[in-house]
Amino acid sequence: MLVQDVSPTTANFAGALGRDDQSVSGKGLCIALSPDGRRAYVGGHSGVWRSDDGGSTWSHPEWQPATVGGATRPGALPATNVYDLHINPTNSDIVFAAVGRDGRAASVAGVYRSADGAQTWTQVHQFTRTTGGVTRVGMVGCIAAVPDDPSTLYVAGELAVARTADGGATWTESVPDPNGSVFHVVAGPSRPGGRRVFAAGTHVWYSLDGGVTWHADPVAIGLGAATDGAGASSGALAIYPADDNVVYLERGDLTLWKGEYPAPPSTAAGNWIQLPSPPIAGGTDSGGTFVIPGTGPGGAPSLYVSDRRSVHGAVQDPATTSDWTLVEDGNCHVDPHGLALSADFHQAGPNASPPTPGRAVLVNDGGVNVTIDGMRTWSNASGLSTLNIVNVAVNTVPGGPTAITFGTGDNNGFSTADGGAHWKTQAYLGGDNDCSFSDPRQPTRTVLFAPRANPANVGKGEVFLFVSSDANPPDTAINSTDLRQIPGPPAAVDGNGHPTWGWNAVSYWYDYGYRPIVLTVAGEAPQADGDFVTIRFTGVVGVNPGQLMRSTALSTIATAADWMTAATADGPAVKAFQVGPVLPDPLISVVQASGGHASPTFYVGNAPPTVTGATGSMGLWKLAPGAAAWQRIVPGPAGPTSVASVATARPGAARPTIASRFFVDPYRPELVYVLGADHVYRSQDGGASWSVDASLEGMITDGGAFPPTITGTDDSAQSVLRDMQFDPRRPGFRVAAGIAGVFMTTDGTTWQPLLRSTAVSMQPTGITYDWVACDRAVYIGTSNRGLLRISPLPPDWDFPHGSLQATVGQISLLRINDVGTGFGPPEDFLDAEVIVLVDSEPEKAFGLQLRSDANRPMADGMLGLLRDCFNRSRPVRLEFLRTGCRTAQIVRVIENT
Amino acid sequence: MPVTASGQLSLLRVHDVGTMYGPPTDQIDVEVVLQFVGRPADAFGFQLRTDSEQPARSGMLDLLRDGFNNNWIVSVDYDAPAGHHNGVLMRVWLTKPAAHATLPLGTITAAKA
Repeated sequence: MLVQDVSPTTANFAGALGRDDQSVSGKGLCIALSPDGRRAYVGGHSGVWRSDDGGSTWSHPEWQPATVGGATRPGALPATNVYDLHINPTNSDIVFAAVGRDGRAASVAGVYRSADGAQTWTQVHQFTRTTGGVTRVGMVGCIAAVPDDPSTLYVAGELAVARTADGGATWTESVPDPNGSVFHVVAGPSRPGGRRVFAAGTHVWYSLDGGVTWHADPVAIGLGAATDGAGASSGALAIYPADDNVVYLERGDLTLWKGEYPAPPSTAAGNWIQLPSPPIAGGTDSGGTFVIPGTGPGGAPSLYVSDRRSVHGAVQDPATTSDWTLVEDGNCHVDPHGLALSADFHQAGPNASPPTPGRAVLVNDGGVNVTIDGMRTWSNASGLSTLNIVNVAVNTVPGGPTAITFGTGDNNGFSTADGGAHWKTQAYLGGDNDCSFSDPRQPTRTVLFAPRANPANVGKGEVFLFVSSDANPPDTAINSTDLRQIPGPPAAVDGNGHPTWGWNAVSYWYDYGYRPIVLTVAGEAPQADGDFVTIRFTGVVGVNPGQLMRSTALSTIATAADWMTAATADGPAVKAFQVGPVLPDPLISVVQASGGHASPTFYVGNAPPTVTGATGSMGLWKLAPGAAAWQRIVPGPAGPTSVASVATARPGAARPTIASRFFVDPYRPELVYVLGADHVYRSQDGGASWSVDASLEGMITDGGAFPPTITGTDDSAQSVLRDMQFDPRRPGFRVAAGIAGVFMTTDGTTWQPLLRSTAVSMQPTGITYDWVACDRAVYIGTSNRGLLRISPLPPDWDFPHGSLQATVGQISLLRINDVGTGFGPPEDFLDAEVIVLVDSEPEKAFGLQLRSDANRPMADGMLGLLRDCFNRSRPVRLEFLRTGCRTAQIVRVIENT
Repeated sequence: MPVTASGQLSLLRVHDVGTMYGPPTDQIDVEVVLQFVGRPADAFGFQLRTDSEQPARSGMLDLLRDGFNNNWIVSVDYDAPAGHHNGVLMRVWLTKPAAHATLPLGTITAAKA
C-alpha cells in the first residue's frame, strides 16, 4: 500500500476563476520567515510546512512510517493545529510552534521546538492548571521574540505568560490575571530597569520587568485567542520597533488601537486611541486580523493590517481611512491570516523604488503569496497541499477512468476526469463548496449539494445532478453539459424566523452522517434516475417534525413544489414521495439507507445541533421495509445502558445510551455502528442487540487518548468516528475514519491502522472507498491537508500490473469453463478457461487459456500438472503475470515434491 | 442465469455425437453426461466435439473423471429451462479445504523471466 497526495497542484490545475477565488492551496494560520528571507514555515490545521526558498515552494515534513499503518515516527508533531511560529534568527532550523485546540482527553497542546527544520519536535512547555482534580490545558496562541536576544521568548498560553531565556530549555510562568485569559504577548528590548512586555486577552496587561510582574491596564479592550477562521490571528498585537512604549492592537471586529505608555520608571497605564481602520475591500470575510510593523515606501515606518479579507498598508500612523492602500494584487487569495517580512523588507511606492525590497510572505485561505518587489506584485507558492476538503465523490468505470470531484472551504470545488492527472474548477461556484456523492454501481451519475446556488431562491438551495451522456463518468467541471440543477424544497425558517434550507442536503448534516444515496446492492440493477433520500423541513426547523423524502426520478424535479408531494409510494410520474410517517422527533436531521432499491431500511438520527441551536437527544430510529412506524433503537427499550469496561462487557449486555454518530452498512441493513457516550457499539441484528467493538474503539480513540466525545478542537463537528465505508462483496471489509486517522478491517472484527493522523498531520473529514477501481483505493478528504489516496488495499497485490511473480500453495479450487465465459466481475475479469485458486493467495484467481491454438500442448501439460497437484494434495508453484487487481495469467506450473 | 449444482457423481457417461440424452421434451444435445448422488432425475452435460471448445471440454471431462475416481464433491454451473431436469453445463470445478489458508503474503516472490 502507498499513501499518495493526489490533490490538485499548480502544475496540473487549469482553473476557471481568479487566483483570489481559487487556489490549489488552502488555509494557513500563521507564517514565519527567517531574517534573511530564505527559510519560511507555515502553520495551520496540518502541522508545520517548510520552505527553503523564501516561501515560493513548500514541502511537508511527513512522518510516515516505513509501512502503511505503522507507528508514527518518533518526534512527529502530535497535534495538527498550529497558531503561531517563531524562527530562531541565528539558526533557521530552530523553530517554535504554538500548538493548540487538541481534542485528546489529556491535551498535548503546548509549545513545541524543533532543531532540525521541523523534521522532529519536542514539547518544551505546556500551560496547565489543576483545580478539583481536573487539569485544564491552556490554549497556546502566540509566541513573541525580543529584538536583542535570540534565546529569549515569551509565549501566551491562556492561563499565563511563559518566558524562556535559554532557547526553550527552561520556562518560567507568570500570571497577569488569575481570573483572566491571556492569548497574546509582545516584548521589547532589554532596558536598564527591565524589559517592556505587553499581553492581551480578556484585558490588556503590561510589565516593566520582563514579565515577572504585571499591571492591568484599565482600558476596556480585549483580544480573542488566535482563531481558526474569522477573528484575531496570532499577529493581532504588535510592539512598535522604534519605541517599545507603543503597542498596536487589531481586534477581531476590525477596530485598530494604539496604546502609548509613559516611559519607565512610570508604571502608569497606556493612553489608548482608536486609529482609522482600513477600507473594507469587498466586505469582511473569514480571515484573521493582524498588525505588522514594517518599512513602507521611502523607508517610512509603516503598519500592515488585515481587514480579514485583504491586507492594507499605511505610513505610521494613519490619520484617515484613505491613508491605507491595498498592498495585494489579484494573485492573492482572500482572507489573510498572517504576514511575515524579511529583515531587509522595504515596500515600494508610487514614487519610491526601494533599493532592497526584500521579501514579504503572506498566508491566507489560498495558501501563500510571495512578493520580492516591495509588494508591487505577488506570486503564488507551490507545493503547499493544504486544501480543506468537505468530502470526495469518486466515479470509476470498470477498467476505465476514475473521475473525482470535491468541494473545499473557501476555494470552491475541483474536478478531474482522469484520476487526478488534470484538474479543473468544479461546476458549482459556492465559494465554500459542498458535498458530492455517487453510487459505485452507477458511475455515470454524481450528485453535488449546492446550497448557495440560485441566491434568489432564498433558503432553498439546489442539488447539482450530473448525468453522463455516455458510459463514462459525468463531467462535473465548470460549463459541464452534463449538469442539471435540481431545486430543493421551499425554504423553512430558523428559530429567528429567517429563511433557511428546507432540506438537509447541506454539508452541515453530512458532517453528522447524512448520506443521500441509496446504494445498489449486489444482484440488483441501479435505478435509472438514481435513488436519493433527504429530510424535508417545513415550518420552523427543529420545532416542526421533518419528513423523510425519496426520489427515484431526481432529474424530473423542476420546482420546489415537487418536493411538497403527498405521494407515499413510488410509481409512474412520481417525482418524489414520502417515506414512512412523519419523523418521530423534530430534531431528526440525518438519514442513511441500506439494503438496496427494492426494500431499503432507513436509519435516522438527531445528533446534529440544528439551525435553531437546539441539540437533539442523539437517538437513533429505524424504519424497516414494510414497517408502519419508526422504531427507536437508541436508546433501546431495555437492557443495561453502559458497561464498566470493555474487558468485562458481555456481548449483548450493553446498549448505547446515545448515538452521537451512526453508520449503517449500505449493503447489509442489519450491520450498524454507533458512537455512544462511552464506547463504540456494533449491532449485527439491526439494533436489537449491541456489543462493544473494542478493536475499532481502540483504533479511533488512539488507545483511549481521544474521548468518545471530542471537544475543544477547531471543528465543532470533529469526532473520533466521522465516516465509515463498506464493501458490497466483502462482508468483513470496512474502513473507518476519525480524528485519529483511517483504519481498516478485513474480517469485520480486527481493525488495523491504514494511516494515523500523526503520520502526516492530518484531520480526516471524510473517506470514499473506490472498490470498482483497480487498484482498490480509499480517498481521504482532510482539513487543510488536501486529498490523500491509499492504495492498493488488501487483498489487491502491491506489485505492478504486468509484472512476473510467483506463489506456492495448495490448490483449493480447480475449475474449467467454456471458452469466453471467464472468471470474476467485469472490473477484474480473467479471460481464461482453467481457473486455479491457491490457499496462499486469498481472493486471487489464476488462469490459463485452453483453446485450439498453438499453445494447446503447453496448456494441456500445465492442466495435467495442476490436476496432479490437486489430486495428490501437493503444493504447486505458479509463476504468473499480473493481469488485474486480483487476477493473473499462469505462465508456468511447477509441481513440487 | 446459470445455476450451481454440487455433489458426488453417481454417473459419468460419454456417447456418440448426436445421440442426445433425455426424452424429447427434456433433451440435451451433449456427448458427456453426469448425474449426482441423490438426484437421479436430473442430468447435466456438455458437448465434446472437434470445435473451438474441444480443449476446454476435454479438460472438463478430465476433472469429472478425477472427481468420480476419488469420490470428491464436484460442482457445476448449468443452464436449464424452467421445469426441465436436464441442463447444459458450462463450468466444472473441484474444491478442497484450504490446508493452510492464511499463509502470509510473504510467500509472493519475484519469478525470473
